[in-house]
Amino acid sequence: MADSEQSQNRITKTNPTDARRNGNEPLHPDLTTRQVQRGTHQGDRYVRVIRSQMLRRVAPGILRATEAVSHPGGKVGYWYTRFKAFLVGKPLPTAAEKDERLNKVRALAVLSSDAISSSAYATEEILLVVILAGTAAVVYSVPVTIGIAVLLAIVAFSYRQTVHAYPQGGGAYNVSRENLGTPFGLVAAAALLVGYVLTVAVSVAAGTAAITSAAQELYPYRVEISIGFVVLITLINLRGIKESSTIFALPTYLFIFSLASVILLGLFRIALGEPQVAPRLAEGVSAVEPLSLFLLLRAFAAGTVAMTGTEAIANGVPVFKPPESKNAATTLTWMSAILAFFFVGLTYVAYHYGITPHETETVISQVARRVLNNEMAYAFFQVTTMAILILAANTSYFGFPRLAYVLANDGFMPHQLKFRGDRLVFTNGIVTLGAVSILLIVLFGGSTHALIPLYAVGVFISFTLSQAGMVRHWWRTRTAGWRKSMVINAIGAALTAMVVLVVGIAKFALGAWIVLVLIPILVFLFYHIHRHYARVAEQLALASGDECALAPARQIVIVPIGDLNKASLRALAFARSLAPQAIALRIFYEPEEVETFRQEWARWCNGTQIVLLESPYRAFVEPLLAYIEELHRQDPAACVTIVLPEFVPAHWWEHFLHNQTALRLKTALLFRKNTVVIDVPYHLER
Amino acid sequence: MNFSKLLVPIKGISADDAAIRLACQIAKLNKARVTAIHVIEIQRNLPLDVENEAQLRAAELVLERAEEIAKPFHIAFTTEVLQARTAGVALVDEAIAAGVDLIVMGVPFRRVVGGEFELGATPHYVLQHAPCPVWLCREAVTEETARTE
Repeated sequence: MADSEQSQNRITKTNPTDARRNGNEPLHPDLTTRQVQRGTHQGDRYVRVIRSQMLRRVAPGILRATEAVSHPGGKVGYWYTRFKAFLVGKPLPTAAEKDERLNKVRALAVLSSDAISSSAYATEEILLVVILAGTAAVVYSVPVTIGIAVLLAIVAFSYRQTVHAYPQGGGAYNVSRENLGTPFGLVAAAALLVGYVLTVAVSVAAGTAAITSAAQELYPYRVEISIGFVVLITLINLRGIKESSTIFALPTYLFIFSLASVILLGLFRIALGEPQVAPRLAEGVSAVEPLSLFLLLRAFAAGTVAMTGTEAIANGVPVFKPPESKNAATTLTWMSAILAFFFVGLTYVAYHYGITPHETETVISQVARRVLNNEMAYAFFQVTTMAILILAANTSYFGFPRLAYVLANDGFMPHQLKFRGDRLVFTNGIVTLGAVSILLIVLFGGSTHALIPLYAVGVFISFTLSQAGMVRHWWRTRTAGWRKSMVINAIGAALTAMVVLVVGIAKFALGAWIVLVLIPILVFLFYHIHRHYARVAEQLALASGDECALAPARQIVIVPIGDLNKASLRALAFARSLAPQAIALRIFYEPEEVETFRQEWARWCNGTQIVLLESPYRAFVEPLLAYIEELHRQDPAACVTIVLPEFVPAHWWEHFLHNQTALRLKTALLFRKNTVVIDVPYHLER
Repeated sequence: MNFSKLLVPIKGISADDAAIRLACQIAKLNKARVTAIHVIEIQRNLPLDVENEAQLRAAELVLERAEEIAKPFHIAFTTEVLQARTAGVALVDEAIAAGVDLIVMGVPFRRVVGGEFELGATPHYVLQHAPCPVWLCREAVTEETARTE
């Protein structure tokens, strides 16, 4: 009550519009005025509180823009807004962020599509290596798969700790930076960013390959089809995380349902005593290597593609509904359990049925065909597999922009990547990912085989750094159970480091070198960007003594004019309001023009200083710049203000009929020190 | 009946919501404009144009809620804040000044001591003095309101 009494004060002027016209009414910066109205009965009065419908007053001196402000005016603006709303949806206010957060079921669909989809090809990657030692070596696919599942459990355990320790997200980058130092953090970030881009390119190329295999006449258009998919996924992601999760949840869960059905049915049949089939080499394939530890390590490394995408949840903890860390940890456990079951189950069923890689049919397809034994069910399974392969890209659309945001926030990537668009997603990050992925698809001609060697190296570098960071974390914090956690993370770090080494060596010549070269380049760029932002901050930071910066500076005001007209008179009037000693500058090309101009000047602008500058070589901008330079030399501490008269045609196309002198001048003055350029527009009516 | 300008007095009570929805439905059918008005009643010991931050903020919140309700109807919907000694007088005067065709008012269900239904001073004044039709939306009787005898 006391507050409201204090804030009560009388508004004395009741008709601000009239008073303002007289020039004696103060402005109301918070856009709220009061106007007394007469009632119908004598003596009746009431007050209309005049408020802006576009900018709402929240508190004294604080306004909030409404949605209507974002709608540009005019027909073009109207249709642009409608088209944009059709493509990406209507703008959401920042307050709606809490509604955009995901529950565990939605989050599993968005964040796990990459990891879960890898179960579609990870078994095949192992078999492709072990088969090199002949059919007898196929039996090792099962223990290798179990080994990878254990590694997955260790990595998932590590990330569970990470989501609790780093609820702000950032995953491997934050863990490595905080525990191992900034260079390691940046290496992890660069590796992850490369991994995200490759995920989009590889998964979309794989999905397109599935389509072009079914309809071979589309094969020549595989790059265009892949680009179409990337554009589509980009647009859906620009619609906001909640909407994209709704769109992508169905295919993800259909794949989970159908693959779980295939594996469970297969295991059920095996349990019923269906006989084991001995593996046979596909036609044209022969054993070329002896069974060795290195071969098994290569098989292990090849199978670890199953683990790509595991880090996405740790990167995006803030997107979960509260309690964020707990929900993220639970979703991570679900994802790891599903992935491990799919991977081990599929490998075991494939082994039992003696399925080996075939040139024309994937292992997962052979398993489904064998287990389902029904054309319709098999076709449905294939469609869900194709959909999940394409949707694996979606996890990157979640991870990349978030990691880019965290990096931009720390000053290692351009600040534009911090921008959140109409739908509360990191628009620039999403568009950047789409653009770079398209570039990669075009460069590699939409070929999956060409891209896969690049794939796992980056991801496993980030896993290794993250695990190593967690080891240091336990060592430093020494919370309850730290010894056990530290040992688990140390084993994880050693195993993932081994994968990096094996994949790096085995696939170096096939293209892994590109990633190993790209990561240092990116880290170098991060440091350069960071140095720039540090320099900017240093130069702009306020220090003691800067209080005098608010003191008015002396101004040299120059008004370049062409013909004397309403536009130039308005600019002159404005310039004189800034500084009564404003100088008008007229450049002329013919000496005969001078006398006529002087007479005109005396009639319309008597009392304003004018300088006439002859330009016998018919140049305009250069003599003007030279004059400004010379005049400024007389008082280098002064601020030069160039006031440009500019008339604005009624229609946009009429701009082409006029010299863009003001534009040329503005461009020339853009980088001149201590110079302010002011446009004084004069809008033509017709 | 055709209406082109509708006025909905908003008090910040639950009965307002149904009145806003009804007005918006009518406006949608008639391609009409709706103005939601909240009147801040000023005590007689204070100047009429007094600036009270708390009351103005409360008015903004009430009108923002009205806008949220009206948003799905995609109609021309504006909001106003008035200050007056009595809300009914200002609403009728504003309706006359703006040439309003219809006033739609939300009315709570309440009884005074003795069990008689109490319409309230503002709806009563508007019903008596508004030159245009006035539609009242009385809120549904709940167990709680039915007991208030």
